[in-house]
Amino acid sequence: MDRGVFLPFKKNVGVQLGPGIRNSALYVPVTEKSQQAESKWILGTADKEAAGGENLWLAVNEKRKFLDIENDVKTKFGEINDDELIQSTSDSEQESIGSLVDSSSSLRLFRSVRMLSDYAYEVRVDSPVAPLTFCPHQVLDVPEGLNTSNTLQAVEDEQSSERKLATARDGILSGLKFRSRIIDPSDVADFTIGFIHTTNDLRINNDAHQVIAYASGETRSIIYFSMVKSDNTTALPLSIGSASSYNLHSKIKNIVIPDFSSILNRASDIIAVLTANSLYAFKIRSIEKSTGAMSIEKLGPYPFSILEDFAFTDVAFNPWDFNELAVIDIKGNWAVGNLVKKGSRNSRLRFSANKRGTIYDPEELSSWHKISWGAEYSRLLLVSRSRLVELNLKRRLQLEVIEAKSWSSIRDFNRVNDQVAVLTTSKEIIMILLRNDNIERTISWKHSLEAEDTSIKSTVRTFTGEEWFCRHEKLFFVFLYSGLGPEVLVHVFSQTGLLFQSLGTSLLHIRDIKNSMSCVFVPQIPLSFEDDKSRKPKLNCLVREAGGSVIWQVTVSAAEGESQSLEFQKGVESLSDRIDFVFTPTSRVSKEFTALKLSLPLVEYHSIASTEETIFQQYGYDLSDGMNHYLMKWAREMENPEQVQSLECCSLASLAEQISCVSNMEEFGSLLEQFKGHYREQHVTFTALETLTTLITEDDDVADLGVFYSNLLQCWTFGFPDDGLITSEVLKSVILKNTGISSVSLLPVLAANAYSELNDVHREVVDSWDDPVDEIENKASLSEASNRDITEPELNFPSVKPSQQSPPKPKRHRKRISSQASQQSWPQPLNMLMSQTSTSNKHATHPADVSSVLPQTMTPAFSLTSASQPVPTLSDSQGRNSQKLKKKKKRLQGFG
Amino acid sequence: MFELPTVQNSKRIRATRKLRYQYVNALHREHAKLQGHLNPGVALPTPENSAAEESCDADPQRASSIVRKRRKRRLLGVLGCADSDSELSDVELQNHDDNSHHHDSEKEFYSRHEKPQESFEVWKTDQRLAVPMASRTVSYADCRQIEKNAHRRTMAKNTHIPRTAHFQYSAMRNGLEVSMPPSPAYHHVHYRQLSELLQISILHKKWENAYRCFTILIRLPGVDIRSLWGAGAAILDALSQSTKDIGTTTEFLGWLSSIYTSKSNFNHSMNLTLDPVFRSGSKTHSAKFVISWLWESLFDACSDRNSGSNNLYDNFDSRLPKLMEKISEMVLSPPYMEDPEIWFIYALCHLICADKLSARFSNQNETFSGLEKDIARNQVTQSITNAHNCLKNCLDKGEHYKFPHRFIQEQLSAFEKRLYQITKERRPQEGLKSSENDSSEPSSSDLDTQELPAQGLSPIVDEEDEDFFGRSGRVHFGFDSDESSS
Repeated sequence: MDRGVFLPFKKNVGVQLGPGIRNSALYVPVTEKSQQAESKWILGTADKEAAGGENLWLAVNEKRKFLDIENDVKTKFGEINDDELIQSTSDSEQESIGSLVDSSSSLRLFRSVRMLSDYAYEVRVDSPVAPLTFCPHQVLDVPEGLNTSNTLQAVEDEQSSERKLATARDGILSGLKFRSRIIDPSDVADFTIGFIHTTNDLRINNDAHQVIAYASGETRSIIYFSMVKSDNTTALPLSIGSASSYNLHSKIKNIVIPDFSSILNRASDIIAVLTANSLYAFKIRSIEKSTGAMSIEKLGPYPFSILEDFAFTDVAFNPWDFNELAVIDIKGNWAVGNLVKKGSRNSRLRFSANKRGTIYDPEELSSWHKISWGAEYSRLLLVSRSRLVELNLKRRLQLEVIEAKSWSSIRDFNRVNDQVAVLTTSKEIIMILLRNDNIERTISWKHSLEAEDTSIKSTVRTFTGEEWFCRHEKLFFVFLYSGLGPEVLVHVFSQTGLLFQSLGTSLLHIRDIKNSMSCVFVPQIPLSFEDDKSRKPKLNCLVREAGGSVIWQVTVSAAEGESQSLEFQKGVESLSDRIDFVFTPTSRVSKEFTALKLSLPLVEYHSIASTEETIFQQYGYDLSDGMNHYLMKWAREMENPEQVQSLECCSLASLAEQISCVSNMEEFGSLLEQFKGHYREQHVTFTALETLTTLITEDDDVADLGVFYSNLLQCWTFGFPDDGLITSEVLKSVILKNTGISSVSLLPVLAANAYSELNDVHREVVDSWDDPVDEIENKASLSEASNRDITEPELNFPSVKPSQQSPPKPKRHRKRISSQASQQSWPQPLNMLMSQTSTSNKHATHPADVSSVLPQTMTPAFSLTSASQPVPTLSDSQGRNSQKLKKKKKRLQGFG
Repeated sequence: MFELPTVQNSKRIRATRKLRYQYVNALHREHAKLQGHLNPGVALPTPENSAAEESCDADPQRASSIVRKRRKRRLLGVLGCADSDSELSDVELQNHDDNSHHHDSEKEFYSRHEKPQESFEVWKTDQRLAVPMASRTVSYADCRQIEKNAHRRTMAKNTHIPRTAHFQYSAMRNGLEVSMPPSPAYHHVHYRQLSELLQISILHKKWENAYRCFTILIRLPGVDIRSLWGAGAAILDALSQSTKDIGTTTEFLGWLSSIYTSKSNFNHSMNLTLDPVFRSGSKTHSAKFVISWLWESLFDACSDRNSGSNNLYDNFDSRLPKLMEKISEMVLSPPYMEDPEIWFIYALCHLICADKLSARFSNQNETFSGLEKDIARNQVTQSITNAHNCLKNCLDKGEHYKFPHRFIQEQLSAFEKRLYQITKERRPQEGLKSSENDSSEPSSSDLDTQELPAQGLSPIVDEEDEDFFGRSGRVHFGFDSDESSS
């Protein structure tokens, strides 16, 4: 291919690509076709071409733990002994709250308190004070988590439980978050990896070492440095040396390891760290190769008052000058400075007096800013959310290259090398050529990610074509990740001479990341291969979950068709696992109810009001007929209780033939309600309508079938003529098949039976169940059992004591069952259950089953809500029953 | 995670937007005031300055109207017609005025900024547009003053705002970013699910699923198919070969181009919620799907799938000339008239024509009779000339369009050379090889000779467009006769 070939483009627009767009293109004539052999065209999107195309469709291969910061923290900061604790808490008010004496352990005067091992809240005389006017809520939350081993964990638990509750409450899709989130754009990176070439190594002609720098601690105020050994021969390509840490007394916002121009062929020995209130520079003097021990010189802190007293958001190093750096603050003030060799620790960073200025834009509200060097020594690129400005320091000119104030805004900017930079906007990924004269927009890809998501960040890794075994000269892997979800979007661009092409997009789903990613980095280590024949390169990424303490090493490799789909399904599975964990009732629905027909029901359309009425009457008659059969059966069982093994349940559908057609859902609902109301007096429990509606839309407060029907109709309308009919048909069969019926009067009998069969140990457990917490739990599980007409023997034995309804303390419960595993998982369902019992089950099922075990005198209080009108106690006469239905019907028709 | 093809608009979103733009405008005004205060002499008539002045002009106007009304009221008071609470109505009046002003706060913001159509951002890469560096940093005190005043102004207009909006506003003021939650309305959730599913299916290349999502999604009310056409094109591209019943990408794009007009004007003063970049066209911006359609039909026209060597020319006959005819029509009206990319495609059409015609010289030279050869040679030169003309047009239309000029010139001259190879009847294969191997050097000499007639012809072509296209029809005819002979 000719080296002068490039795709035709409009200046300042470039080659604009997106899904489904593969222009613009160049024609390769017939005669040359014999050489090219593949296609007559050079297209903008080359992912269909055979050479290397398949290998660029990526999927996550495996995920391993690379580094667990939390553990490191534990080893560093050991437990504090009790004396200190007593001293520290004796004059606080904690003791008045927690004066319960725990009998299980040895007597303690005070509750055990775990001190925060973080020093961000210490105020020292010499350290600049963070510009925080509030107390972080983590601090306030500490007393809550007194008994947990780790406060951070407690806070995180709380957050996640909050999240789970939120999703269980209002999520039809559990991933949707319906609350607005405030994102701090100056939180750029909490770890980074890069090459460090110390002066010592340079002298003795050693190679540069790869070093990882990461923030940790509860407030992320401690910086760690450790060496990364890369070894391609072993299964784990990266391992880590010993760490050295510095406490910076303030939250770490950004960590920068400078990247030098490739022509210099060396790396820096400086790591810059930005915290909430100052800038630090760490000069690494030497690294011991075997142990990874480093000797580090800490320069700084340089408080922000050295410029204009606004917080710095980014630091960049001159790729051609080791000691020159530039900073930018949240308002766009920038300055170029030098790290000088001589001087005291705090005065070695000197900002130039004339190389400073501002790109302050009053219309720019976000504090996100980035700075980096351009194509030349004297050119700087300053980026804000709405502008990209190029500065020419030599001629003292500035050019506003990009103004993004209308359709998109800038999300991230990565300088890849001296010629290429990648700009991520809310709409596109844009490759920019940094030339000496003009910046040029070459190729862009519309990524269709959510435009409102301001937390999108990107990271870029380049490979040469030979490394990846493809014919392109250079490959650019752009990783896009968001602070709102666990997916990573990878787009690959290629460069061959002047020709830039797009090679396709893939979506990586990293397993077991619940929240989102705070940082993704692709270290500069050579690619590894699965085996030499397949030539399938494997890419290693380092990923840190937002708020998490573990840095994961994720291996990404080319996906095959099937494995990709498997991967996809795995993702789905993990999602459902999560749902299990959240404890939605669906997880325990037995198989009969999950095996569904995969077709919509056929609908015969014959609904005339008059015929419907008779149909309803007939159906009501059939229902009560069937119900009476069951009642008789249960009565027989009551007579000889020894034979009863389990509680039998049935559904509405098993009582009678299905009703043929329902056009008026409201009426049908009221029929069912009447039916239920009547039989509830015979100690029969039914699944509440709310339970079913919660399963389908997870909307708690729909108690009327008619309302629910119209809700469903909103969701299921596709514009076909018979939408309403299909919806009503589906809803009808859902209601009929899933409304469970069972008699709770058998429960005490069953419980007694089950109890007699238990051995001593289990009896002890059962006996000790008079803890109020457990009582609630029992009730909940009981109500659940009746909700979903599933009999689970182990749930049936408790003998519930209707004692005081005082709200239990989850903390105590957690303490009692003090196994490590249950600590993690218990509070969650418990909270759920508590909220359920307190809110949703207030009126229907819960009182019903309580009434069965309560003394008879208490029933009237609960039966209030059982029917909309007082139903007279009838005998089992079916004729009268159906007459009653008819009567009700006539009354209701006025509303219809 | 993915973009929604609809517009989410709710009271909540509107409230936040309104606040945001009011605050931004207030900031801008305060900043301009401060700048003017700092350096009153240096107020150069930059576009930003004048825009600021314009926006400031609105205030005096309003002030004068208030003054007039106040005077009127006072006169009425003198005449004894004033009501008791006339003093209060002054405030009311101002509030009312402000309300009408609120309405435009977004418009006011965009009156200072261009809304680009070609790309999502305004790009200015020309170094000549550079301005002197702003070397004075913004001090903390100045910034605080601007923000405080702007905040006061904004709050004066918005005494009662929802708590959430206020919360988001205060976050925004502190430089934080707010990610708005998706709407919890049932149909919005439904839309969101579908579009997520669609995007994920596309990324995982599950085309069947993607197709189903796409078909449902485009039928939902409120969804603009033009914000989804890329996905649709990709799906059809993958599916149309294997599945019988669905159309091809080209048909889909053709349908889009025929349904959606490019004749409308792009109105800068309107508050548009959806961008026109990929989505729509106007009189000054040819829609992306139209251009994609042309490219796709061009790819189609050159593909030799479902055609053997025999009816290769059949295909050639039906598809490429049709496309050329289409483009020749399009090129007569805006926005395509001014779009260099359309001209480039047109040039490529001619280039391909020339390639196909001249390829016959190198393949089946024996079957030519003298007359046919002359006709065919004429056609080739004709196509090459047309291609040159179109390229020239393309360069004329936008100075900003760039294509590998040399690469294309070399191709054209190579086609030209094929004609001469036949006449000299030198071992054609060897000649071909040499022309391929070092095509750059011999072509340069040929290039000059070929350039001359092209330039000579071009004025004729430019003068009479119809003749130009009529001739292309003649090419068509002549070619038919060739085919019958072969």
